[in-house]
Amino acid sequence: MEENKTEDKKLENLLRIKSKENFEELCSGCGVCEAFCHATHYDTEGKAKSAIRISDENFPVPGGYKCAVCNQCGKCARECPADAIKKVGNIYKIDDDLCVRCTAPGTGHPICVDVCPTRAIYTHKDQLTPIKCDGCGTCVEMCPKGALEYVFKKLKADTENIPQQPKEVPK
Amino acid sequence: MKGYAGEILRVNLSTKEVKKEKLDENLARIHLGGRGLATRIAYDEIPSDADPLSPGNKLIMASGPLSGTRVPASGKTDFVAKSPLTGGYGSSNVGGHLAEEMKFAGYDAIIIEGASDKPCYLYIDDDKVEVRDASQYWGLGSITGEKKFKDDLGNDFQIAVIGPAAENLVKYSCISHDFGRNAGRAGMGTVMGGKKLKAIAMRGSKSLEVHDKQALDKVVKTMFEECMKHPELKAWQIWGTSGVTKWCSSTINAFPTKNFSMGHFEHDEKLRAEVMREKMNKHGKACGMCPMACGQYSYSKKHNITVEGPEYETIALMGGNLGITDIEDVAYLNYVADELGLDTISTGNIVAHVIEAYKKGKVTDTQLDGLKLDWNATSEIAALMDRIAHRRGFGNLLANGVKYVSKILGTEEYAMHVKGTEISGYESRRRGSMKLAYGTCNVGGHHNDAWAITYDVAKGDKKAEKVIELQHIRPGFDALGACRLPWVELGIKIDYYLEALNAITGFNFSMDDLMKAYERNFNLMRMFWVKHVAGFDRKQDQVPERWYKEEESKVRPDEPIVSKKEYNELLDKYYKLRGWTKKGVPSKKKLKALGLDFAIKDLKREK
Repeated sequence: MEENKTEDKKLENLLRIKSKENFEELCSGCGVCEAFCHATHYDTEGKAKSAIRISDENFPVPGGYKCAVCNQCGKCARECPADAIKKVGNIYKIDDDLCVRCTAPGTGHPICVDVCPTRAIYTHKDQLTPIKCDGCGTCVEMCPKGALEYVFKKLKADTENIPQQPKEVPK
Repeated sequence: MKGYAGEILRVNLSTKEVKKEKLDENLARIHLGGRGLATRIAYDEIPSDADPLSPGNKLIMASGPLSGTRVPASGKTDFVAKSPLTGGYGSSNVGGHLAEEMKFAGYDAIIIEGASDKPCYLYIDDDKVEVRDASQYWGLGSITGEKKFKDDLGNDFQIAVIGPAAENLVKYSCISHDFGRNAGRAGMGTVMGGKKLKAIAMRGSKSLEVHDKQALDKVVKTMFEECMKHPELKAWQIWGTSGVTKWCSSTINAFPTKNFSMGHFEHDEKLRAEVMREKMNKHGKACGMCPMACGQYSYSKKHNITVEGPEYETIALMGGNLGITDIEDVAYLNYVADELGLDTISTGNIVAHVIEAYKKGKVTDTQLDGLKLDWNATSEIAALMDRIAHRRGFGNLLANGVKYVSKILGTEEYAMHVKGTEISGYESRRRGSMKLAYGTCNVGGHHNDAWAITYDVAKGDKKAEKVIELQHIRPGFDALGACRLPWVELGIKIDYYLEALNAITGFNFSMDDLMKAYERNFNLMRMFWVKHVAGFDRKQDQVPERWYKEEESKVRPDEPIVSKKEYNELLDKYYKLRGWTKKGVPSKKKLKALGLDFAIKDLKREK
C-alpha cells in the first residue's frame, strides 16, 4: 500500500488522484473540480469534458456525493487496440494521434471506456479521443472542501526527501 | 456572442410548439441576464389584464452571463412571472445546478407560455426539446418526483419540479430543485401548476466560449483564493445560514417569534447552528461553483427524515415564528413543506397567523376540524400544511395567502405581509432601513432586494440611500446569475464580478455601466407593478400595522419603534432619491434616463 508518510511529493511521483476516505462527509457537490478540470484542458468553460465526475445518485436518501476519477490502474492501456494509452511517469495518458476511436462490440463505447473498472473514462461528441485524468492536480488544488488528495509513490529509504506539498502544479 | 448560450427557448404549452429564438444582444447588454432579462421579457410579453393563473401569464426562467463559468457561486437561476400571490411582479431564484445545465444545453432563458390541458413536463436534452406527458408524475411530492424523473431520464438530468401544493394552485408554492432547494417566493411554482407543467428536465453537453479566457482564469482564481482564505469561510461551510439564528434572536432581536409578536425567542438556544450540526448534520450541499457550500444536508433521527436544511429563513418562520423548541421538529416541518412544495417562509407566516387568530377566537374549532393548533404543536402544524397543500377544509382558505385570509377572518392588524407576500425572517419594528427594504421590495415582504438590517444595527443614518444601493447590487447578482453571499459575507468585491463579466462577455463595462444596468432593472420591476396594478402607489409600500406597536415582550427599550410618520418620511426621501413621484411611481424623466422609454406608455394606468 502506498501511504503518505515517506513518499516524495512531486508530481513525477504522483500515482493517482483519489477522493479522501471521508469523501462523503466532505464533498458538497459544488462541481468546482469538474469545471476546473474542463477549463484547464480546453479553451472553453464547461463541465462536459471533465475527467472527474461528481454524482448525486445517492439523493435524496441517504445523500452523500460520489466521485469517479481514474485510479491509474492501466487496464485501459492494456486493452487499447491501438496501443494509444501510454504510461508517462505513473500516469496513463491517451495519445490523441494514436487513438482510433474504436468501438467495443455491443455497447458503442470505445474499449477503454467499457473496460474501465471505475467508470472514469468519458466520451464527448465534439471529439474522437476519450477523456481521462492526466493527473494535472487542478481538481485537488481547487476543491473548496479538501475532499480530494494526491497519492504519491513511496520511496524506498531516501530520508533526504522531506514530505512537502507539490510546489509546481501545471494549471 | 460570447459568454451567453445565444438562444432563448419559447415553449407554448397550449399548442405544444417549441421555438428557438436568437438572444438579442442589445437586451443582454442592457439587462445582463437572469432576473434582469427575465423581467424585461415578462414586462414586454405579459398583458396587464392577464390573470396569473391563466394561459396568458408567462413563466420566464433565466440564467445569467456568469452561469456555467467558474465564477464562484455562479449557480443561480431566476424565475419571473406575474405573481398569483400578489397579482404584481413575481420573481424567485434557486441555486443548485439548473443555470449551468440550461446554458450547457444551449439556452439563456426559457419562456413558458399558454397552458396544457393535461399534466406535462418539458424535456430538454441539448437541441432535443419536447413537451411530454406527465400523468405518471402528477401528484408526486417534489422530492419524490425529482427522484423519479432522475430515475426515468438519467441521473445527469437537472430537474425543476413542483409538488402537490402547486398542482392544487396554492398561491405560495415553490419550484423545487436539487432535493430541497426552492424558488420559493411569490408563487412561481403556482404558475407552473396553472399551466399543468409538472417539471422542466434538462441536460446539456455543450461548452461556453468566453471573450477572454486568460483574464477570466486570473479573476476567478483570485476570487477563489480570497474566499478560501477568509476567516468566516469555515463557519459558512459547517453551519450555513443556520449560523444566523443566534445572532438574529439573541444579539439583534430580529428573530420572528410567534407571528412577529416578538423579536427574541426565549428557546432560541435549541434552534441554533451548533445544536443542528450536533444533532443532524450529514454533509454540506453546495450550489454550482460555490466554495461556501452553505446548504446543510441533515438527517433527523427523531422523525427519520432526510432534508436539505433547515436554512435560517425556515428556522425563523417555521421555528421561532411557530414557537417550535426542537430543531429536529423544524427539520421535519421543512421536510413536509419541501415534499408538498410549499414555501416555508409564507407557510410559517400564515400558520403563525392562524395560531394567533385561533387563540384570539377568530378561528373556530369547527374550522380546524379536530386540529389542536398551538405554538410548538409540530404534528398539528404538519397536518394543517397537508390540508393547505391539498386545499382540504380550512386549508382551502389558507391556500390564498395571509393577506386574503386576514381579510376574511378580520385579523388584518396582525397579518404580516407587504403587497400580499408574507414577510420573511427579520422582525423590523425598530429597524428603519429594513422596514423600508421590505416596504419597497419588488416581490413584497422579502429581504432579497435589500437586506439592510445590518445597517440599522450599525446605526447608519443614510437609510434610504443604503436601501437603494442594496436594491441595485443584490438584484444585480440575480441578473448576473450569481449568488450574492460571497459578496455579503466574505467581502468578495463587486470589481471582481465586473472584471469577470467583461472577461466572459467582452462588454467592456465600467462600474457605472454595471450600476446603471442594475438601476434600470430595478425600475423595470417597479414598472411591472405600475403596468399591472391599476392605481399602484405608496399604499402598496406600507408595512404591517403590527410593526408600529410594541412587542409582547420588549427587549430593546433603547431603540424606539420607527413610527408610521417616520416611515412615510423615509419613503418620501427614498422616492425623491430614486427620481420617482410622491406616489412612488418612476417619473417619465427617470425612465428616459434609464433607456426605459418603452415603459412610459404604461404610466397612464397611474390614477
